[in-house]
Amino acid sequence: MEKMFKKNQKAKKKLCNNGLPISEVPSKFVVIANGGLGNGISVHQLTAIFEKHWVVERTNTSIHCSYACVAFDSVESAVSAVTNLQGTVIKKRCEQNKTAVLYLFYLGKMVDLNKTEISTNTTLPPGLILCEEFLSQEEESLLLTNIDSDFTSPPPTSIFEKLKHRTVLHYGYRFRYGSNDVDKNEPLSDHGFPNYIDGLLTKLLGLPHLKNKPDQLTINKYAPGDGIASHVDNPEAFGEVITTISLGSTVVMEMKFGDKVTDFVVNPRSAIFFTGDARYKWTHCIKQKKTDIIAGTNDCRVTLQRGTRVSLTFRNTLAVQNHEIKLTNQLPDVKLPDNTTEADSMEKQYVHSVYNDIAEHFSQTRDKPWPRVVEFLSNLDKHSTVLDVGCGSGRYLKVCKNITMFGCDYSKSLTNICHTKNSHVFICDGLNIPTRTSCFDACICIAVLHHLSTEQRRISALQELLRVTMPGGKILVYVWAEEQNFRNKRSNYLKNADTQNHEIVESSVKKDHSSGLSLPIHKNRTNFKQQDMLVPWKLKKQTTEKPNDNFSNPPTFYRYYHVFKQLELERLCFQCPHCRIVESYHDNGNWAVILQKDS
Amino acid sequence: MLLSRILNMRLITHNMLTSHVKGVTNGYPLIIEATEVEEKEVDFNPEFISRMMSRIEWPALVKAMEWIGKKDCLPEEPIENCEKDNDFLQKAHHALMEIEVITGSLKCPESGRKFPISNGIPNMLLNEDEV
Repeated sequence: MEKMFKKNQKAKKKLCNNGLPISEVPSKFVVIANGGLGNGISVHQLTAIFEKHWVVERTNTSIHCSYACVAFDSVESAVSAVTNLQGTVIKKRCEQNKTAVLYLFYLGKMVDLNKTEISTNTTLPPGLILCEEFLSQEEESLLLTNIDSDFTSPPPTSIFEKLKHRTVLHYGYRFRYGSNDVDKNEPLSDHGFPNYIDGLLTKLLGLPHLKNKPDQLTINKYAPGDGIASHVDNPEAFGEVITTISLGSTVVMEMKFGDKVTDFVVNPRSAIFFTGDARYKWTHCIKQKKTDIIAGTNDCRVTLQRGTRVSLTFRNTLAVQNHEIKLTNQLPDVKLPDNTTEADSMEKQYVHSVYNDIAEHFSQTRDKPWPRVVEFLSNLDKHSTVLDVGCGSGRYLKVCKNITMFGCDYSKSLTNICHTKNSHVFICDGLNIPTRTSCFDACICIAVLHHLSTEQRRISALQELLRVTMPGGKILVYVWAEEQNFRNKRSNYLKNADTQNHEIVESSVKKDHSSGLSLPIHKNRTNFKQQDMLVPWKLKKQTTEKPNDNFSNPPTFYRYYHVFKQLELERLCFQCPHCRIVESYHDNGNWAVILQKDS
Repeated sequence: MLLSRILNMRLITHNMLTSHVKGVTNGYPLIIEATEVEEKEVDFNPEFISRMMSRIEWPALVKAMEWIGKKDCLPEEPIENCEKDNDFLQKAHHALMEIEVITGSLKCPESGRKFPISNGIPNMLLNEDEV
């Protein structure tokens, strides 16, 4: 006991020497000797201890400090903590079997180590525009008063909902959780938003980020500990910019794209515009926590206690909705590329860029080799050299031991996956294969030609395959068939409709893009209604995220496809010199040909 | 499983690659400018190498070895009946299969365009104005 007292006094003296305003009078501010990041104790550990018993407003430590400074909500909490935690032994975070003994003292005032500021140099996702202090404190409190009164007695122009982890008010249109859209036929009122929003809206429209006046508003009220699951706002239901205004409390938002994660602080009175990649590719979420821990300057860690946060999310509902299409029962206009530049740019956006983004998920779900492709490879002479054009994540590069396979693909991410599978790969365009003429004994090109957007390009790709193949060598080509029901047999693509729900996208609306091209969106796992379209690829929901409401919505990517009609592939082959069709067949929703290059 | 081995660009791949930059009439062989090279032992399969002899460009392989800094490892020309000569096939095997380029570039001999090799993968994509 005496030993502990001595150590306690020693620690106190050391802190005094460091210039800390140690006070004998209890206050709500406490310094914890040996409880700092510099001593191997993380803020998470301290927070875990505090949270059970007391409310902490702020914790502050640094890599360079063996101690931590804590601001409790009251003197009572501080006194209770000092009494109860004095001499507590805790395990160090990094060093195994090492412990730290905590000594607590009151501080005359709160100490902010190294003038800690929340680090502002976080790289925000591309397209995310964060405007701090967008509103004044007066504007904020006026809005909060009005919003509070609406939450207490929701006006008839609004819809009030209590979700599991937040409460919401919808204006303009009701946001439908589940389908994550609105019913365009059911506006909530003719007046749109409440009057007290007018000033804010004018201010928003004064910035260049919003082109059109939003017509849907959801006000979310988050109590401490509330959150929102990782999602991308439905790209088919809402416009290019999503705007969020934060009021009341600071919170940390987490955004993710692939393996990239960015945390950033959202302060009250700030405005966030989600545009571009931040709007369409990155998911955003707010974790269900009462305290956020964030990196500060000078390697400090800062905890932020959440209060009640109110956010206003403005959206522009899109004019064309799926039910309108269903009513007219007409196919949307199709405008396809009619020159090389247009084709290049469309394939870049709707093929190349998509495969880079979905590479990982694609590789996990498209790993099963198709039996008849394997059969083709197995029938080749021993020690044949074979090029797989558009090899994807390399599912055919290792299926046959007796031959040497080379793979090429436009996607860097996919070739990177092949690279780790003991495979020869290079990155190239199938329209321009960078190898010698007559260099391979055989070639395969599986599910590639249907991503080319003009007939001329599909023929060119076949000619390139023929060029790099030796005279007498064989080529196997597979393309997706328009006929998914063939000879009374449904393809696996249709059959799997029930089991692979994550790939089903509800709507079938056309999607315009900057180049003026226009394509319908195919409904996954249904028969094709047209030959050229965008096929949605929905990234798998992250299973680590607990579904806390029906709003977990990973990004959807669109791939361009031209599905082939019966005999269309053969017709293209007839236009290629030195080409003999050895065999052609329908295989599970695909058209296939085996070609032989003239000797 | 052996599958999980990382395979960087071997000289067997280099032997097939060529430059197709617009206007170039002879883009072969690509000049290797390697900054990171690794040698890895690979099981020798004389039957496979013997068959490859008719499929590879020997002078390009000799050049490739020179660019890697292993000039005198291969004879300038294949010897007579090389398909049956075990010593010769061993040397060809070493050159084709056991040298991997991890980083560097492949330079078009005519236009000077450099195709980067990173992570062991040559990137042969051309810009719009090069096709």
